[in-house]
Amino acid sequence: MSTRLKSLLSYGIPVVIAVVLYVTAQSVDRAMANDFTGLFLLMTLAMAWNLVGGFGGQFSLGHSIFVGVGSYATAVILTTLGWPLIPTVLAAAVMSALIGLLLAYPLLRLRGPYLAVGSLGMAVASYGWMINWNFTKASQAYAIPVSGQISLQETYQYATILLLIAVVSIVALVRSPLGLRLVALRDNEAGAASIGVKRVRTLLPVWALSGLLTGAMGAVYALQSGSLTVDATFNIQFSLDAAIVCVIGGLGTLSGPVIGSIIIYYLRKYAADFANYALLIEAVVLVIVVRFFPSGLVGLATKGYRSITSRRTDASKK
Amino acid sequence: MKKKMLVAAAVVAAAGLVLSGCSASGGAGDDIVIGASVPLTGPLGTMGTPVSMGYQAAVDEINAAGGVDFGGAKHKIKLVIQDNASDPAKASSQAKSLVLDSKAVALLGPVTPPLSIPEATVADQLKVPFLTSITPIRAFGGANPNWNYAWDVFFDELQMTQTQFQASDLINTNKKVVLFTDTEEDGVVMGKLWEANAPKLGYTIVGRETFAVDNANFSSQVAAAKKSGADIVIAQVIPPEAIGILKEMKAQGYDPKAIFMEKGGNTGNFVKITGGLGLGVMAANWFAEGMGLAREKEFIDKYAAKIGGINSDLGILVCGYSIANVLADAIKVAGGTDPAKLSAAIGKTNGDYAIGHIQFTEGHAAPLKVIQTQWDSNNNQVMVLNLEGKAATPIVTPEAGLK
Repeated sequence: MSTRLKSLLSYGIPVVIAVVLYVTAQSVDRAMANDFTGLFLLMTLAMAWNLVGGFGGQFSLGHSIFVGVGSYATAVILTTLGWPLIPTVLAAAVMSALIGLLLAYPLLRLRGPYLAVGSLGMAVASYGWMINWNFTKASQAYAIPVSGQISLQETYQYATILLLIAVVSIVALVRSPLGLRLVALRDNEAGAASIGVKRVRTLLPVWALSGLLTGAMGAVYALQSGSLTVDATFNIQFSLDAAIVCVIGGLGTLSGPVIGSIIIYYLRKYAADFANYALLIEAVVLVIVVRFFPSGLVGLATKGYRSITSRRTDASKK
Repeated sequence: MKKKMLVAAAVVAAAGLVLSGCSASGGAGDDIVIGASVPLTGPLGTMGTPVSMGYQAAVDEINAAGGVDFGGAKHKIKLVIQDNASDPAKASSQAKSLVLDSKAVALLGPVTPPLSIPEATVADQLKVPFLTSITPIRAFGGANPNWNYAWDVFFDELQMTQTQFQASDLINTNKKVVLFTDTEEDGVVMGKLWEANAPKLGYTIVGRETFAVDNANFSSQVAAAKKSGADIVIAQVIPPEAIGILKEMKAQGYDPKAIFMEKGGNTGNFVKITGGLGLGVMAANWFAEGMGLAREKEFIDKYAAKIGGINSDLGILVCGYSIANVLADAIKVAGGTDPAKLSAAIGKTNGDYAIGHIQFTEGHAAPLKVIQTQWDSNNNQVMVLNLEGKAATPIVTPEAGLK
């Protein structure tokens, strides 16, 4: 298969799936629409985090800031400016991308666990600021105005388009020269620097894209929730969820966040019936994956596939 | 890369279809499913437990009588209660799941605005009737003046924020007041009303300490309050904050003549959980012995021992019991569970229930009148100011627990 056809398929398949899902959205039952919205938002969050945490090797615990900024920007713009929904979501995403650039600049001076702790500190500080900021109603609930109250099926359509944008933009970035520089920096920073790869110049646009996608996810999350609280949107759990999903699926892979999201989303949904055991069940799954499949389920599948093909090759040689 | 993408796409489609098929299984039969996402754990767990007991008590009674009568048949109620752990995000997602997955035809609410408002928003979004309590009506209406499917039965902050001054009139003080208010809906709404009411009723607000919900360190706020020389402290806080403030007051030797702890002091075993510091703390209440409610004695006899005294927990239980009955009556009046008809029937409620007369006015709210009560050593809240704003049992002053 030619490289051009491969490239066409890798963009074409997600586009076709997204178009089918978008067109059939209005005929989907409300429960399913809500379920898929939640799943697609988790996928988008995990893919955006994976860009920084997986491909870039920057273990961020500050992505909850982008979710919070995206969701509150949506609520504030709809309430005070009364913009239509699409420009509102775009503005919220751009605002989040700018925050991404602002945060990345000082954070990129840190490496490894220091970056994780630094980003966590920023997330905690943002939470502290927001819970006291009267402009966004401090710790009161901030209701999305009537203009933003759309049906579950419409929210599902927004989530579908957002996921498609995330997939296409991330695939494009990973395959671009910027993506190659990003992976080179992660794998061997000194080596990459020796061939002229600039750390800050490479990582800044990646953080901006990750912030943009996570902010847009926060905007759609706001539409799905109907009302916002700082506890719900600036919650560090978002960063942890993204990391957990990527670790289970496969860090630094394109399909890892997708597979990890499906597992975590439905595991939580059905384990919720077991009340307090739900967290225990999730923890056990996570420990098993980390202990026995450190490269995630995608890594396990790839290993299995290689093992089978190499056996076949050996057998044919004999 | 392409293969991985294909695998991922196939897994999404297959898993989605299989798992969504799973979620559609199960039926309620002739039963009516009513959902309730309440805080059984977390900072508001002490309030969520009695409200869920009230819901269950009402449903058990209705089912024991055969169920709700409509369409020529009696339908039993299946009450699905979930614990939202006092988390607004979880409350919102559980409310959604109760309607979409458990097929609840109506929702009974949690407690307090931070949890009730997100659930009410979900109810309006999904067009499902929602009835809540333990949520002051101005905070409820302030979040959305145009609720469509959400209804609230509780006190009006305007009346409630006068009772602290009326009770203070019954003792000798320097009429100086310091406020402790957190930044959630109740703190914001009531804080403004206390500031507005104080001068009209002859009191001076000498300080207002505000802080984020779940604040744990009150040293600077208590120091400022002590320095202001106020004889009266009025706080609008959640239970853990109330405990923190009392501990800090004890540590700094600040023992004012009257302490009102709204919401924070409305929790069972308050004297015990504060290690005795809460003895003598006052709080507005909507149920107490001697208040004159028709079924007062019945509920005290039946539940006071079980719940640990005649206190706010019992009042919360009675509120839960009452609104569950309002909902059941509305289903009967609506002749079924059609959401629009049921919501309209709730709005037309005009009758006497265990918690008193319930009639909805503007803003989808039915106001209840409150009294003032004071914690005694038997884990009871004794009425010190009655419904007419007059003296009942004499107030013990200064606050005994801080001596």
